[in-house]
Amino acid sequence: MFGLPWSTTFFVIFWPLILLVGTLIYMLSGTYEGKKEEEEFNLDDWYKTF
Amino acid sequence: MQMSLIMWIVVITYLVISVAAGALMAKKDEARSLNGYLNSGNSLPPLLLAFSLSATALSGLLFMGGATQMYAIGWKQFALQYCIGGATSMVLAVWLLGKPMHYIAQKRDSVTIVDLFVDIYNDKRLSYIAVPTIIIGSTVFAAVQWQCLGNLFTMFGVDYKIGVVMGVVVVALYTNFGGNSSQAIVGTIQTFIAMAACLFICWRSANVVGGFTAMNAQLGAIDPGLLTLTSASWPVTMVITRILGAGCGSFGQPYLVIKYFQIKDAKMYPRVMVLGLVSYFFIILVVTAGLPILILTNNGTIPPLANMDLLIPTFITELVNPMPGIGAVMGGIIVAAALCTIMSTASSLMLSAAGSIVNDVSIKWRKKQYTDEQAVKNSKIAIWFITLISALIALFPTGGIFMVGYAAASLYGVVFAPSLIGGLRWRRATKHGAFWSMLISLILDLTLYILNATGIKRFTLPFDMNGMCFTISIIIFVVVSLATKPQEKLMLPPSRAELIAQKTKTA
Repeated sequence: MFGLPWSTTFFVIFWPLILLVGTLIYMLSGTYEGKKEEEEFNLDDWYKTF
Repeated sequence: MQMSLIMWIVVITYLVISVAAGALMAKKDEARSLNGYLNSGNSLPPLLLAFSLSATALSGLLFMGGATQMYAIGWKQFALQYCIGGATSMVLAVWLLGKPMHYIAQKRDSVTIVDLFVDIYNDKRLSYIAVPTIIIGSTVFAAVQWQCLGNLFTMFGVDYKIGVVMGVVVVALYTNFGGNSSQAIVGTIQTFIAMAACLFICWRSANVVGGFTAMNAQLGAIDPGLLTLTSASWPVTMVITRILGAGCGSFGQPYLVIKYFQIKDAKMYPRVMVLGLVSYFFIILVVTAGLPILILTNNGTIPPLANMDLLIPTFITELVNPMPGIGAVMGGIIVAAALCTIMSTASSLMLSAAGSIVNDVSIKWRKKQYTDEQAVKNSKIAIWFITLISALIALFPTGGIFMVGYAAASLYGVVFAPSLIGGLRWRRATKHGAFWSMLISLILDLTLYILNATGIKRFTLPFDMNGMCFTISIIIFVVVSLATKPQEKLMLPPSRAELIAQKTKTA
């Protein structure tokens, strides 16, 4: 694309897009680290237990 | 190189706004305690945190030095250093460090990254390695920022040394006024300006040589290696270690990492990731300026550059200023954007080094007792001290912006990243692993850099020097941790097995 070899195109254009879409989906999903533990063990905040 | 009156007005307006914002934040209550002054009382909203992270991460090293590397090695610089190394590590750093650091800061009232190391590993010896690393790295990296400012001000027809002094005074003033809160607010405004300017630079870079496809065709005609990730002088080992060297900085730079203490609510970190990435991807477009300059100097349209560090000033005066109608205003905005990235990083470096001097050296080592007011006052004195030393180094520059800046920024990653990530995420990590990894990598990285920079022994291995040191640092950390007695980690949340055991006990 734009006269660049495919490997350069991937890392210059598609890799940033993959990162951006991936983090956007993570943000919109509303999940966060420790959510599973909090639900399963009935904790207010998993991190605050240490 | 000369700037027009309009460009002067745009730049001076920007400098006045920066100092005024700092002065306004000085009236806020949180600027009156040490944690408030250095960390905004751990209460920043996601937008301010994300944009202040971007503003800090994107320094003069990127704005003034990145384009010189594009000029030298082409698109591989953009792909390896910024898209793979920089962006990926930015996401990983927020994901791996954000939440645990926020909670540890709340629980232990941590002020600096040194506090964090001592808390995680319960070993004060680590501070004796971490503090000198922070002070050396911050001073040299700040000097690189002043060097960028001096080069930028030559466009005004101002002498390099006077330019350095002008920039130093403005940054020291607004950092002194309001501490981290002023840095975060000014950094956010700066990031918006920088995003607009960098988008324009990318458009102009392609436009001036006939579009992206035509630009790449001309680059390929000069050297096909400018378009590829590997080439004769860039073997795969160099590619991999450059990605590691570029990426490790996100995990270890104390003035960046300390910002993870500052979020209001740890559940907001996914938003920080997205906002940080968006601003980052806009701002890295600045480095494309190196490509049209390479093409135009090669075909004789622009005279060869006498000093590579003047590439961005040349881009502004040769390719932006002459544009009819908008040239002078856009030139002024680009200069303001460059000042944004340089000053926000310099300001964060000052705060980080001052925090270490007051909190770690005076309070923790020398057992001095300060009231909040005295601690903030001493931090301000420390800021002026670091500013003075780094400005003296910048007045007599000894190397190119990119190479010195990259070495200083990576030093933190090489020394701190394995122990920091391991300490927060790997239960088998031990204080001995952290100590030996930090000590050996600090000595190795500094020795190799000094030998190479002074020409005593040039680094000729097919690796990126910083990436190689980072890899060695990881290996030492893992091997020594596994070889030593497991250590109880009081600063980590319970594992699944521990939670089940607790539940069974309660039942």
